[in-house]
Amino acid sequence: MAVHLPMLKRLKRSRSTTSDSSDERLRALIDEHAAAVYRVALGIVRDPSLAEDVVQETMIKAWRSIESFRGESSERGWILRIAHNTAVSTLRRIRDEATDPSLIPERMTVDTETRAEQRADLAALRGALDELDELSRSILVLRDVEALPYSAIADTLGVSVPLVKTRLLRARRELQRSVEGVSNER
Amino acid sequence: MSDEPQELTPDPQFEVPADRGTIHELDDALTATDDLWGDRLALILEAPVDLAERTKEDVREALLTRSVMAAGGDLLSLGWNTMRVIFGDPAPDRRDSSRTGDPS
Repeated sequence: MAVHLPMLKRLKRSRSTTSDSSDERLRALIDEHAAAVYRVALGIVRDPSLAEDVVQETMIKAWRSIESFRGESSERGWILRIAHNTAVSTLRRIRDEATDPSLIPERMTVDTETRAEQRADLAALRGALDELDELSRSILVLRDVEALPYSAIADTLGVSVPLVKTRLLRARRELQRSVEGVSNER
Repeated sequence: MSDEPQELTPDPQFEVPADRGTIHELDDALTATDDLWGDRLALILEAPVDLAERTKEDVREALLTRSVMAAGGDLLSLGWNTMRVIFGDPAPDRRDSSRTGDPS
């Protein structure tokens, strides 16, 4: 009865997704990486609810392909690569679907109860981040927030290490200019 | 084509900084600005506190839904195959022989 083998395999797989040990493994995976995945996703899609969708999709993809993860890179780097690709394809899909420009996420809305000056600085920083291209934003987040090594960033984004460094420096200088510009206006 | 060696002009797109000082300058500039933005960027990209818990629920639910749908599809296929066995599905060779009208 060869026809029933795929079903047995799938039932076995579905049982394994709910078994205690794999459930724990899934929970640990999410506990360990969800926040980092969210930061990378938000840096790209610039919309908190979309970023959460990316987190969920990334975790499902990671969970499904976890057996193929060979440990050649760090688990964090591996998951952030999935997150980056998922976020970029989400953003492209939305851009393709949206005919109204106002539907495209342009601003991040984050509630931060800080002093007015800090808020203005953060708003300027957010604006400056929005102005950067996708690749530069990803590099900035992967390096300055997630502290990944240059080689891991290059590997994650499929670019060279010198390009990562050049774009990173340029992005940091752009942020500097924007924030200084806002400070000077005050 | 002449046999004389042609002078090669470097393609600016593939030009690599020959001066190692340039590479060092880049590394130095990066090192000098390494700690400048991390904290503030982390602040504006901060994840909601209940993100992990909500993600666990959503992911479990999504995985369960997908595996139930896959199993449902398999059960339908199992039902179809059972019907074929019970009610008889002419084997290809019998079907072929009836079509050709072979008397043997």
